[in-house]
Amino acid sequence: MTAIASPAAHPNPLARGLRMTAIAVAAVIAYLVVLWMALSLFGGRTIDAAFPEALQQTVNALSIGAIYALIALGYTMVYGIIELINFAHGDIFMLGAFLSVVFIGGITGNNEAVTNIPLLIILILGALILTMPIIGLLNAGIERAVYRPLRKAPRLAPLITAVGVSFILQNVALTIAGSGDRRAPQIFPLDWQISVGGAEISILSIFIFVLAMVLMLGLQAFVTRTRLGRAMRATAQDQEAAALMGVDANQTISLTFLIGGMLAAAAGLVWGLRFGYVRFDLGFNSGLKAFTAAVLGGIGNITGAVIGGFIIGFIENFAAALGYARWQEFLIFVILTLVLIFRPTGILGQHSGDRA
Amino acid sequence: MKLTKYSVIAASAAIVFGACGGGGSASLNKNIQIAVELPFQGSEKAASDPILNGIRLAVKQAGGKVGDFTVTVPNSAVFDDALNGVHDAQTGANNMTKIVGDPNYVAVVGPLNSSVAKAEIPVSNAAGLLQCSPANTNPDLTAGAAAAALRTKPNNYIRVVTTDAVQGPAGAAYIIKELGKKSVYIIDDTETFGKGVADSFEAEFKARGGTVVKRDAAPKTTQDYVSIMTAAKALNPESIYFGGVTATGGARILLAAAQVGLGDIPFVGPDGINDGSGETKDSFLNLAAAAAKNAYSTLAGPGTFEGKDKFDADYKAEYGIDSTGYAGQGFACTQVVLDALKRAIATNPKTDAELREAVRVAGTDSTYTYSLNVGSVTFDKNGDTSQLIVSIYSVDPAGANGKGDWKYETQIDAAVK
Amino acid sequence: MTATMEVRSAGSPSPRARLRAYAHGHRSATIVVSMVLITAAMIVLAQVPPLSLIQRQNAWFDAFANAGTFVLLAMGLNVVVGLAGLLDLGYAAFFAIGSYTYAYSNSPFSQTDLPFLPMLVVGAAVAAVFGIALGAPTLRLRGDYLAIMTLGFGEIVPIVFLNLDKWTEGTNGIGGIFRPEPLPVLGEFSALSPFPYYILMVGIVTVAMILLYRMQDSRIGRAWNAIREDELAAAANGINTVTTKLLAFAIGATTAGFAGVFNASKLTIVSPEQFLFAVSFSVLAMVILGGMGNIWGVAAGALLVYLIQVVLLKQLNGMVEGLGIPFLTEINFLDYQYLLFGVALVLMMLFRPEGLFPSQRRRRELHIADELAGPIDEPAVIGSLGAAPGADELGDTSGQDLRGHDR
Repeated sequence: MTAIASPAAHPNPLARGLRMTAIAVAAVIAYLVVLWMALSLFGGRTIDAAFPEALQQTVNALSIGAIYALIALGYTMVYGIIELINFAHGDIFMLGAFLSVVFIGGITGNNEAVTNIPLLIILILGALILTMPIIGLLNAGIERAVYRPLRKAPRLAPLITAVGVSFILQNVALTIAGSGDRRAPQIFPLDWQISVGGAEISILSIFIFVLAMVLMLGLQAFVTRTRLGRAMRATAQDQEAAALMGVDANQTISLTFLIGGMLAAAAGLVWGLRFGYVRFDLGFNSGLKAFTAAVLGGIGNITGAVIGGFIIGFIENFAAALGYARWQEFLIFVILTLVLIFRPTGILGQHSGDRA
Repeated sequence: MKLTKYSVIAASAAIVFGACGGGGSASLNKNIQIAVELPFQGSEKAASDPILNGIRLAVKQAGGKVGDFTVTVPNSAVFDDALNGVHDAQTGANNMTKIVGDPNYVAVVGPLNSSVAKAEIPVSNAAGLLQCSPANTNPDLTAGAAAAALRTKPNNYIRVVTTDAVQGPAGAAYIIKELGKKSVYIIDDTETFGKGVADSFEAEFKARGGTVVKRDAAPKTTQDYVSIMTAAKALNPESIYFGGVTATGGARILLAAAQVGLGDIPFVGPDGINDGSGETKDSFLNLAAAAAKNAYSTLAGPGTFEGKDKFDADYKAEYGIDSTGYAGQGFACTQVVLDALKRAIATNPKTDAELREAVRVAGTDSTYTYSLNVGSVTFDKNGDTSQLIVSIYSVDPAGANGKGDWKYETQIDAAVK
Repeated sequence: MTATMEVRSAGSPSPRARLRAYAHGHRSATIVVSMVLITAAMIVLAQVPPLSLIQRQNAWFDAFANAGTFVLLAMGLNVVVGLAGLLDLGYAAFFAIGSYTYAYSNSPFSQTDLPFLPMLVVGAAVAAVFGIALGAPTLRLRGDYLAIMTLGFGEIVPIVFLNLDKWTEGTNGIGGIFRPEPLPVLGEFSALSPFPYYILMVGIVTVAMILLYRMQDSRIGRAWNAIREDELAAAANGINTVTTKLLAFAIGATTAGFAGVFNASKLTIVSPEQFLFAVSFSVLAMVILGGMGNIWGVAAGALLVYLIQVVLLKQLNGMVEGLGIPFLTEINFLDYQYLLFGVALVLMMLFRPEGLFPSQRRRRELHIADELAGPIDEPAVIGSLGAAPGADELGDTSGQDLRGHDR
């Protein structure tokens, strides 16, 4: 049985946090060095020129990785609690991106950057406060309407339903917004940059990373330190036992979908800020990659999903940096295959019983 | 298996019965139609609608008559080759089977996509039906072994646009000669059109002594274009060439390029990004907005021609909107068909089949010079147009009420190189 | 299964029941006769109103032949999803492999021209090899991981065909593929006469159907049933679950390979864009709508869905346009087909999971949950259904936790 990881069980959470941070920083530096070397060895760059480029790419990887991680959390939580691959989760992210476009576009009315810092903060916070609950409730509503009645059905049924929901959401967006790209207002000034080691690092990518981190730590705190979070972990471990202990399984599952949807909505907002467009089928590939991230990290495991998201970000970035962008998806799926074959529990996953 | 014997008999009976059906009439129908075969779903609908308008405008201006034949394009003659929102070769071939099986159709205008044309030409060719494409630019459809493999009979396919083999090089010539840039970063969308045009661009750019700093490719499903453009920036290109269309990433790439500091070098693309002003929904200029200030696009046809103003005015008067994309080419294809029909009638065909063949022969006659809205044109024995004109557009940020619009710059005639 | 049927027909010796009993006993002959009747009926129907008003006879044959491709695909996917209960979301990959195999054996690109019928077998075999290669390492995984793996495989295959352009002509695809050489009775295959393709397709579908029915009724079929219903119980009963699942996977891939070869020989061009996720999804929708597990059902479902997609929705557009009601004419029904698929899938799962044309067994199996569950807030009563109506074979899920058995 997979379970939402319970770091609270660790004797010293602070030490664990510090250790994790140290490992993460080391991994990022390792990526930077590897990319730097790869660029100068295979990319035809001089070793001096390759460093700032590698640094910039590392920051890019952290940005996109943060977006994947936010989406992956929704997959991993839902899987952890009801063992459903919520196929439609990528499309929830897409709807989140659309909703923030509607909100920000509706207020600013144009695509121009907002240089007034308080106004910018209000806009972004406002978009988050508005879109996160709406998308979260939508996700929970979908669970209530179509997944819950199937909770006792053969396993294939909810999975196929999720595929169906995914197509419904995509096509609703297609009908409303059309099939082309839609402009997402890039209100965060793209020319805000800081110079580090010869590289121009955009403040936006730092903002995306920090926002994602804040949300993920918030989630971690929620899961480990609140009553509802405890109920969630209990339900994930054993639904029936939890029910006997007075945990309302339905409420907990709804909550899980709600939180997953909220995080996806946040990812949608920063997606628009960074890439300047949204499209109805955005959720398909993002969802696939985020799901891969969740599997890579060990599905059901919150920390694992975050790590997985960043790893996918790094892989994708590495391919792009060396000029093999068209092989990105191939690489990701090959890695997914290898992980599933050789370590189906993922990097941090616990052993799961059902491998028949 | 006792029944097997009977089933064989039943099967043979069924076959005989089926084979009896069909068969063309031996008379000559004077109420004829021109079939239209284009994708009408998803984003391609925006490209096909103006073409259909152009076709109907041409028929209307001819008075719906050629000699004592009435020519119409009713809705039943308009075929949609899209399946699940995007053009589909199988559906196109299926449509073509329907078209060639109906003696009312003397010719077909379409398709939009070269991959669909590859599945359709074998059918229309075997039936000897004149086919004129207003938009196919893939060179393999007309010249070389690949084209020959599509045909079992004499040629029936012509097109009024030049191929990618002309459009790509025109972009290269423009960057080197007019913009004075000696190096380029090329990225394509991995699709038939985008890759083809980028290939021919690359070859010409190198032939003219330019440096290609990197040939990259990113499918339309790519998520993070910023990383790709960060890598491009490190190579210090003087210009960027994009092979593809807006829907496969044109504006996304330009936005990412601007974000990493490549916004001030020329960004050149094929007709796929010349899809309307900043006011047009989903268009390149609408999406790229201010980042498009240094963008240029090529268009595989003359940007200015004698009849252009008249055509634009007529189109606007008829439909109340500006003509966009390949509307003029749809008009031109229909002019070709009507002209061929006129000469075919002069040969006094006795049956529908004879008329169809006569139209094919007249339409593909490589010695005949057409006078079309786009100028004087002949088609070579493969069906390629003699008009090798590619026009170049730049962006006028003040156009279209300040939303930005394409502005005709110049045109390059590869025929007089 | 057989036992149940016979008992029922003995109880009511009406001619219909007798026919059913006979059909059950002589399945292959029944299939042949039915297919011949259907084929002949379709030939007749295509020449009389209303069908003849919609499009000409040849266009109908063309549509039927194309629909046959999807019928084959749906029957193949049905083995994987419907019989063995494995969700394959990348089924188009095997279709692609079959298509490209024929393209390599019969095109100016490869400069080879091999005979069609042997290539039909070769194409299917190549697809089967890939099916086994993909399945062998992954079928050990739990079902939902398998879904994602196959989805990944379905994405990878077109990418590889696209990116290895030196060997695959990349995005342009391999064009000018040679049509099958003339066959006895059928005559010459040409772009203009879809009739031989139609009859050939009927032949392939018939053979496939006979083989699939035989397999379903054999030991292997029962093993698939058992695995679908309870893998642990099946394993405990001595079924080698991995081999059995692998076989289902290989059979599914083989069928897709047949469809691929036929498709390539008819369309005369293969390119990566023909094999995207939309195809896998459409075929899955066909299987589900038709009725998972019922071979006739999914075949009918595929035919229906394809004809709705390709003929009916377009016709509807034309008809609505003809009405001239301003608001309605703006609607392009084709734009909504995926929305409809999605809605249909969800509604089917919620209210009629056995599909439009269900198999008896599947219906019983899927409704056990209803009988069991009651309000889901309360844990279902467990173990009270030992004598469930479908428990005539090993491993009928005796009302254990139907969601899985991994705790």
